[in-house]
Amino acid sequence: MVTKRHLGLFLLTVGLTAIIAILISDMMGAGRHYGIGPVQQLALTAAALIAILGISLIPFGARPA
Amino acid sequence: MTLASAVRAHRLFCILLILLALTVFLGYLVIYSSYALALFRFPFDYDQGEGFELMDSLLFSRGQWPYRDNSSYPFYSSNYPPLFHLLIVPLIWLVGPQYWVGRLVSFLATLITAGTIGWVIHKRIGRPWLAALGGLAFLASNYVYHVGPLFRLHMTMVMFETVAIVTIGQAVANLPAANRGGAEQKRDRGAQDSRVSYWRDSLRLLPGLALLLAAGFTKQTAIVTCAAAFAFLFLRGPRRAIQLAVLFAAVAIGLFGAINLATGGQWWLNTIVANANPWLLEQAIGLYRQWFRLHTVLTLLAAGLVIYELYWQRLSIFAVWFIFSVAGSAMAGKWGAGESYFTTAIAASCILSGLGAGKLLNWTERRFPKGYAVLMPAIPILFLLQAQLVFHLPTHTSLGQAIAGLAGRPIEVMIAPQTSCSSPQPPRPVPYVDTAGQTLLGRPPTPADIAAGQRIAAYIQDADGPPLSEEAGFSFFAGADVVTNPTQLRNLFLNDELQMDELLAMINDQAFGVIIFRA
Repeated sequence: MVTKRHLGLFLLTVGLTAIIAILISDMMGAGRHYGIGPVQQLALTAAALIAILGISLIPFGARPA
Repeated sequence: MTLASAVRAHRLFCILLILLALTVFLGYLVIYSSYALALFRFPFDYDQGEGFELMDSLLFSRGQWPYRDNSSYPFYSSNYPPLFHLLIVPLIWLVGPQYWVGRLVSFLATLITAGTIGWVIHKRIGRPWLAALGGLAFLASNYVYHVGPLFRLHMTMVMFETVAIVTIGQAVANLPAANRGGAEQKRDRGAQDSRVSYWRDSLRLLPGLALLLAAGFTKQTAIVTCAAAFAFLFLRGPRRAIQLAVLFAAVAIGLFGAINLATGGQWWLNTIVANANPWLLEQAIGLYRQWFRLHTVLTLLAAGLVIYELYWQRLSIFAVWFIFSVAGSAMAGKWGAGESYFTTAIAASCILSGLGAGKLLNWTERRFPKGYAVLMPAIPILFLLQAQLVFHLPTHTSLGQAIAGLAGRPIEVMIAPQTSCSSPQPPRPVPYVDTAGQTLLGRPPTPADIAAGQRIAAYIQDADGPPLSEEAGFSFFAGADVVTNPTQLRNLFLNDELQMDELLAMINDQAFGVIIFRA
């Protein structure tokens, strides 16, 4: 059974992975903008929110998701 | 005033509010139905692309694939999956290639979606007025009103999505194993895991998965709802979810491969490659803002139930669907996409709004009577606020003008006619008011619109060569060939997948009798 903790850890992993992937893609020159462009900013914000949501779910422990 | 009379007055007040909310939303249904009837009588494209969907249906009715080689005459191909057009084939056999058949099917699909929303709210909550408001709120959305009665496949996809999600949700609600907690599951494993009952339970999910497949083969964007359904099934039982996902993928890929084989690769090129359009941030943000502004009450009620389920209950399939569909609406930022991409999220929010409001009412009625006394009038008031947000009304009749006046709205708005190659024209009064803002959809077509279409079709009839038209309706009306699907050619050209030699040669040889721009 998937618990709230499992779901929280999953979302945290997804959020952090997305943040790292966006930053790496930016360093490799993705996008039309110099530096972090508006689409990347939006994606970074969404990824950070997913990670925070994941953290907030972890304390809810073994309750079913 | 005695306590008993105060209670009676409160009950009467609540009943009046509920009746008022139901009346307003039924009014929207009447507006929607009269708009649909007006469109059924209109013999040309009302929305660019309708004629091409009619062409797809016509080709299927002749036993031909619409996934064709764009590089040779008539330079036409479809970019959509086949199911919607196949549903229309029997009607084309009966009455011929008429616009109203596709518009009728799409309109009926929205009614079925609304009925399904109402049914699931009633099934789980048991308050008929709330179920009716949930279903009617879907039909009252500006977006559903705009695109519901068009010869477009999107709303049929939303119907399949909604029925699929409700079917899976009901099937899972009847699976005892999927609804137990972890400790109970472990304790019961011996009894539960007789293989026969496991597979019998899995079989109960197959009708819902078949409907998901139908949604995907109606329009590609249903993939988001498929992902939501399997994410939900994974939460309720990872092993069963993975097994069913493998089965689902095998069937979907098998069908996909079979069509691709039968069309010599044109299916892949035209439904996948030609749909790889650029994503526009400004367009996506603008549409998200508009969607939230128009559906604030529904969205906040839905979000409230999602948060409650996320932290204090188990996530329902409707909550998971809402999350995925709101995120998936980002596809509205694709070039050529638009407001219709939000209709899945709107269907999910209508279900969650009804369930959330109903759960609150049922809980407070049992545990917290004072809260119930506040909520009973508050819920219909919230729906009335939602009704105000989605205000849209044709005002070409005196009744429409009177209603607009009563609602404090203007009786007409100034909109410049859409021009592409001709010079811009000054704004003209349009007898249609819509909180979505300036829109090309929503105003019922008039006899003048039909006369204008007939004038354009007359150019085709008088020409001594085939028409090169960006809209198929005029060609259908004139009995001429439907030549090109312009957005398809554009997309393939931008993806370096279009051979234009024959088309350019025909243009240079002045082989076309008339050229019509529209898109």
